[in-house]
Amino acid sequence: MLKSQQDTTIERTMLLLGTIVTIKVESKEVSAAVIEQTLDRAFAKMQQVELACSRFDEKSELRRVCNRVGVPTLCSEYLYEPLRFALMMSEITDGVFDPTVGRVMYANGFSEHYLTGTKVHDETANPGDVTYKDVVLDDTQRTILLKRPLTLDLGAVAKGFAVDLAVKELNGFESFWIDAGGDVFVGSHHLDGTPWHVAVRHPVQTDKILCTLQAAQVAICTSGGYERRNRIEPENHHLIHPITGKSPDHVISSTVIAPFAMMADAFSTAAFVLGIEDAKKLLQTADLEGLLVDNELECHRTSGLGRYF
Amino acid sequence: MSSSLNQKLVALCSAAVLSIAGYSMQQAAKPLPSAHAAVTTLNRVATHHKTHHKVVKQKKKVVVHPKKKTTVANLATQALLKQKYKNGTYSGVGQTQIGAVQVAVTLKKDRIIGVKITGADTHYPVSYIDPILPQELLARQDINKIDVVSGATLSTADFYYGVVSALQKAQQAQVKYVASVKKAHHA
Repeated sequence: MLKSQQDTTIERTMLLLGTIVTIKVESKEVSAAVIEQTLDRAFAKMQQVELACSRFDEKSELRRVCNRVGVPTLCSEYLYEPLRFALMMSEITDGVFDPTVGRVMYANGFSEHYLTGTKVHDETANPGDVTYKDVVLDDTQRTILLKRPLTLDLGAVAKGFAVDLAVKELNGFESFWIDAGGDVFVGSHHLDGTPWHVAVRHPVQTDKILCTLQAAQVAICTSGGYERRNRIEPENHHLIHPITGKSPDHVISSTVIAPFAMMADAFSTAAFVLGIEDAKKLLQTADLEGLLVDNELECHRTSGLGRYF
Repeated sequence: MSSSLNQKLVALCSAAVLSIAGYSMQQAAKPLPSAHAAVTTLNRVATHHKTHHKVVKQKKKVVVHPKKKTTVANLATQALLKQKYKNGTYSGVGQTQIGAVQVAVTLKKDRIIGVKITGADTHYPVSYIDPILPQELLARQDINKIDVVSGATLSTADFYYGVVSALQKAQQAQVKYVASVKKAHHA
């Protein structure tokens, strides 16, 4: 492929949101300086999401909200919006997807900041049976009210939301791509017009590829139990069913394609926790395509996934 | 066809992303001039609306009080005169350095009942803003909420500027209409 001399490609990687985030921009028309400025803004937005939503940072808005029970607490959109989406997901899945699982995760040893390794000191009393229904939002005031002491965990939406905010900044460029540890968003196509191909990693033989999806202007998110094992109960990983407190074993990898990364992220997590059959039903109801792998390494595709091959 | 759940979730995600947009413009070292211009224009338009509304109310009195027998047609006219915007479909174009977006807005009884992106000339596919933004506008109805999103990317600015321009036309049409009714009444 011929490359004109004005082609600019810039790639930047940062440690963010508990993972490695890489953004790549290709442009024929925009100078490197402008791309760098936009990348600054995109990463700054993602950092804001992390500052607001981190369960591991005592100074985060999320932790501040969790320390106030019974009073509506005003918060920024960086926390409010992903929480609102998470609660919507809870309603859709009848509580299988639940942002109040933070307590359970903490009890299972997911309590270290990924950068500093410092332990989270979570003093929240544990009623044990808290659910998403104990969180009340007020859209007009943008306040969060916790009816009972609980720990919120936005791990399944915050990263996706951060990616969506970055996408918003990058959308003016002819070609871009974001990878945030399993949350991928691809722009329309490569600069030379060829389509993006996103590889889905094999859940067991992690150096191998399960399949390659051809995609444009969508988020592709994979949830898998293979990256973060639970140190206290090795059969449990970091995706926990809020009702049983156990990690479901029949789905070992779930990939969902959606127009927004927050959506793909939440649905891949929900699908993972639900199990193959319920997950397929959920994806169908939401008109989303996905690829699920069960613990016998059998692949289950939604009916419309074919158009991504 | 997208399911209603899908649309609901897309709208929620899109609202989430747009809710942050305002921050970006404030934080950015150099706000993009055209997007900024759109915000100013929107504020200006919002003020105009209020003024016109008063004018329309005054005209209403002129029509209501005459000792004529009230006919159905008469009542219908009175209702029409109370409106901010004249019923109909209006087009508008929003333009920034990355391209332009053309919209058609259909109004009935001051409600936005149709929003269509009729043309787009931007770097990236129109699918990113269509049908999300038209759907959002249909759902929100409130023009003042546009302030929240006009600091978004240039495409959003394009879209909203297009809508603002269409609404301006609808308003001008209403002012003309009210004036013509008044003139006919005096004649």
